[in-house]
Amino acid sequence: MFTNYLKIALRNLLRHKGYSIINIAGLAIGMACCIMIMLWRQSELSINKFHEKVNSIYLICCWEQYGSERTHSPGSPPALGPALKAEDPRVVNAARFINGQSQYLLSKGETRFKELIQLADPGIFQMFSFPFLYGDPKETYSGKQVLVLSESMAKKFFGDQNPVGKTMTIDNQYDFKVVGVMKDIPPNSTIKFDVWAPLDFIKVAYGENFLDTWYNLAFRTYVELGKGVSYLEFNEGLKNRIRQSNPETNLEVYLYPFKDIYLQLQGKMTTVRLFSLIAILVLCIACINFINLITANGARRAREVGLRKVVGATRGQLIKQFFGETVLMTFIALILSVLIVELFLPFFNQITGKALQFNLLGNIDLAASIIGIALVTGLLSGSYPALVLSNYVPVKVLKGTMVSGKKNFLRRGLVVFQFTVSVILIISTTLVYRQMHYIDNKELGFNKKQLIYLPVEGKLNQSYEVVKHDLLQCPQILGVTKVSDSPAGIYQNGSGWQWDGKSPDVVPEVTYLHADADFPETFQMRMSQGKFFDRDESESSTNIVINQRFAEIMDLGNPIGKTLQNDDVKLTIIGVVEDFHFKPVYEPIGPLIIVWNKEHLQDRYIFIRIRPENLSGTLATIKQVTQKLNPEFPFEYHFLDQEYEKLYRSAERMKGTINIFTGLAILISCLGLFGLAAYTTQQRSKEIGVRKVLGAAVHNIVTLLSKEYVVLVILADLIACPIAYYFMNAWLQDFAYRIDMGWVTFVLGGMIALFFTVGTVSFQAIKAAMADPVKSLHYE
Amino acid sequence: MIKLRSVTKAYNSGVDKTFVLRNINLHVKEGEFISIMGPSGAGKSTLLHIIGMLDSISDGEYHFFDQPVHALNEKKRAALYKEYLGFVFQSYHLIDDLTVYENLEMPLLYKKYNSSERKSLVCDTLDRFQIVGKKNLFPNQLSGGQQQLVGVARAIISKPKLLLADEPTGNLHSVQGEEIMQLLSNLNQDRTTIIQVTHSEKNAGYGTRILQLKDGWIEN
Repeated sequence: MFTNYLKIALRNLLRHKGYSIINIAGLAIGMACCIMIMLWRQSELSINKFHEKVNSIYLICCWEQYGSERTHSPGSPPALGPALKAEDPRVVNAARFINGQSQYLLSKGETRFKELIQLADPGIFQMFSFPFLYGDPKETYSGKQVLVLSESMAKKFFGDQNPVGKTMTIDNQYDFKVVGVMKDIPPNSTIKFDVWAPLDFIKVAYGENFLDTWYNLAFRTYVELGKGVSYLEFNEGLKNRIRQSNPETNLEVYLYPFKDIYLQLQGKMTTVRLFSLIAILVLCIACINFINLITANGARRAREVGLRKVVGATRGQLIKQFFGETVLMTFIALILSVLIVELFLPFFNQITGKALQFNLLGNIDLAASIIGIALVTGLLSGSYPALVLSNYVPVKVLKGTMVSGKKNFLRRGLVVFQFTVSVILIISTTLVYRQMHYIDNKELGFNKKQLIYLPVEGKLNQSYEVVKHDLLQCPQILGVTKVSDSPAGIYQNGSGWQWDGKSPDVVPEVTYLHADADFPETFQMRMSQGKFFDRDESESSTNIVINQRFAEIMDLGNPIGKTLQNDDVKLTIIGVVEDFHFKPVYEPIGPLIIVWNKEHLQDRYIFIRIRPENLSGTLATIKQVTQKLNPEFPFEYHFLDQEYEKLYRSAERMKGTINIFTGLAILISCLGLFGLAAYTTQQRSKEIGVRKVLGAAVHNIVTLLSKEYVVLVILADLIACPIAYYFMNAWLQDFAYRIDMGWVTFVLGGMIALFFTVGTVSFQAIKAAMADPVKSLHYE
Repeated sequence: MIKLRSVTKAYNSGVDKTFVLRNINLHVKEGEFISIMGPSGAGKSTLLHIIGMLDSISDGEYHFFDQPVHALNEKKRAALYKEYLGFVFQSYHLIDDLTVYENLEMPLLYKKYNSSERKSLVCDTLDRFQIVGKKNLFPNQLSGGQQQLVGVARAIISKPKLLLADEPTGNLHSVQGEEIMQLLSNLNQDRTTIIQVTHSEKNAGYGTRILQLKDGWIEN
């Protein structure tokens, strides 16, 4: 029995190669999408889960009140963690990371590289699972200048030697002893570093009391709670802990589960869901092809069904047979899809920026779910044909009174569904693309091109005036300025500013930038009122420049000469600079204060505007000038516009991924339509023959055959537009500056689907219309 | 063997009822060879399908041996015809995707035969119909007469008591047709009851009894 079914199934496949290929290829592509998305999803869900204590670790987060606005921060003041550990027995451990890593010059004898170093409490090695190759993670290193290196970092400096006990130097100044080597942190960790040094080291730069404050949110504090302690209960007592020690702030504290940070707090779950949905939809489209082609083919199979019934087959046996066939097809498709995944995974990795690996044997979950997918797909796409075909009444079928596929509403409904999904994807992709393009090209308020920046290191700060003077001698260099932050992202801010006539409801959160007199000229910004700082501004100057946005918030008409006050600090506004973006363009431009103090030592960057010509010569000059005055640090430079590209990379990735799936959805839909059109054309070949004999021209026939599908696709367009509008409108809300969706994209999306439909169907139609009518008529 | 008592078959067409068969009374004994004749639309095929249990009756009674077919459920009816009935069609209705051998084997698959039994039955039948040399061919590689030969072979392979034939020679030219009729006649001599629908007086002559059907009535 089984071999008989298998034979029938295989012969059917081989006899109708075209349709088999369409079916199997469509399914294989759909399943390959599913597999890749599953791999990606698995990797996203596994993030941070490798830590043994992942379920008992929590991040301290804060709510901050600015006037009527409440902002959330994953940061916490440095004094909080140690205080909690000392006060509450439920807290097993607490450890702080400084937010972000800083670059230092790390050297071992003559070997020296600029490396990012993560400053954190040594407790992290007891809370998080960063296994050591050398050294002991349980040792506390408090008060000592020690380092832990990752395996690859250790290799970079020490080769295969054990570096424990060796001394390394930071910034040519501070000696550190290597006390441990940990395994490289896996890619599915949100906490990543290659060099660790104790958090206490930060006191060297910022002073002895820096870690005892109750207000600076530049720290990430993780807390490990004891077994059985509910963090929700813990949170009830925690809420006002900062205010107890620092009554002046309105910070509210709570613990957030570490395991949920990536997916929930950082919102990655939405993307995971979105991609899963797209994968399922693509698979659905492929299943629909399957169903449509098999039922369209039903007329041919009907005779077999009738006959089998006459010789004694029961309905159950026939259902089994058809399920068997579709499951067989799906498994062929499955094998093909595995090959597709093998082939395209590197490409997919490149787009998503992941390092996914496809290893079925080592990934039982995945193997099981893939076989599950194949089974479900087989049963799903087999169910309709199996139930319909097995239900044929033999008398009717064998008499030939059964005309299959004439008015099949289900099939039409499925085609409409397929194209609705395709059109939604087309429209969404186009809108995503347009929004990204808009952001890429949005006026930032300054010219980001031909701007080079150098980090301020070693003696560059003291000798800045000399460096600047020397650089400006080069005719290719148009401007030099020293600033505290790069405008790609300034995150120093505060509130509490007062001015005459301020309404009590207005409590702006103001961003601070430190920049010298040549800042607007170098960045090619414009002043809207007043002037910028003078080159010979006095050292005790209290002059400031604000941005246009702040002027609008102050709402004083002309703010020049007005005073801004914060506690004892009084500053005078001398100018208003036109708004420019100093955070990613997703975020609106907020109020900004620019100050200049010649003695300021925390400027981090020198920006240099250059002419586009002779770039290598200009770079050589910059290198020569800076190395002469600051020989201990290797020369390092960046192009600002490249930093912007990095900033939008994750959005670019999303764009790329959605593009692929849209392409595939259209491809599979068209494949199905192609097959379906072929069938209906074949079914109507006699009608076409008669029409031609009666004088119909080719274009009449093509219109006749294409009309039905054109109507279906137009219907799909009409359904898709409002759905796409709804979702894309929601997506665009995340952007402070966004495109106007307009109607053009929607019409265009519909037109694209229509274009592919007409192309696909008319290929069949023209073929049928051109055929010699005698052939189709003779057959009867 | 077969008793039809006041059998009526009607379809609802709009408001009216269209009668295909009216008040049919028919007794068939084992070993008979009956030919049903009549003009197009007289209800010949419907009668054959009803006897073959592929179609149900609107009114009346149908007894097959001692079973009241009209009162049986789908499953029991299927079991009945699986055991006793064989069908031959005008347009052969072989399965295109199966070889001659596999077409013959197919009815056995739905009955309780193990694979060696199936094999010997198929081989016997191939032998008996002298088509051993064609067992690996597909239907479209055979002539019409040969296809119908396979059709008949398939119908009798599981040794049915009753063979129903719906214009078995309708698509064949006369020489092929005669061969098939001769074959049926031989089968009848081996105690297989046969009921055929035919248009041809000559073919009807092979039978032991002729039933004339007109507008759904049996004419005597």
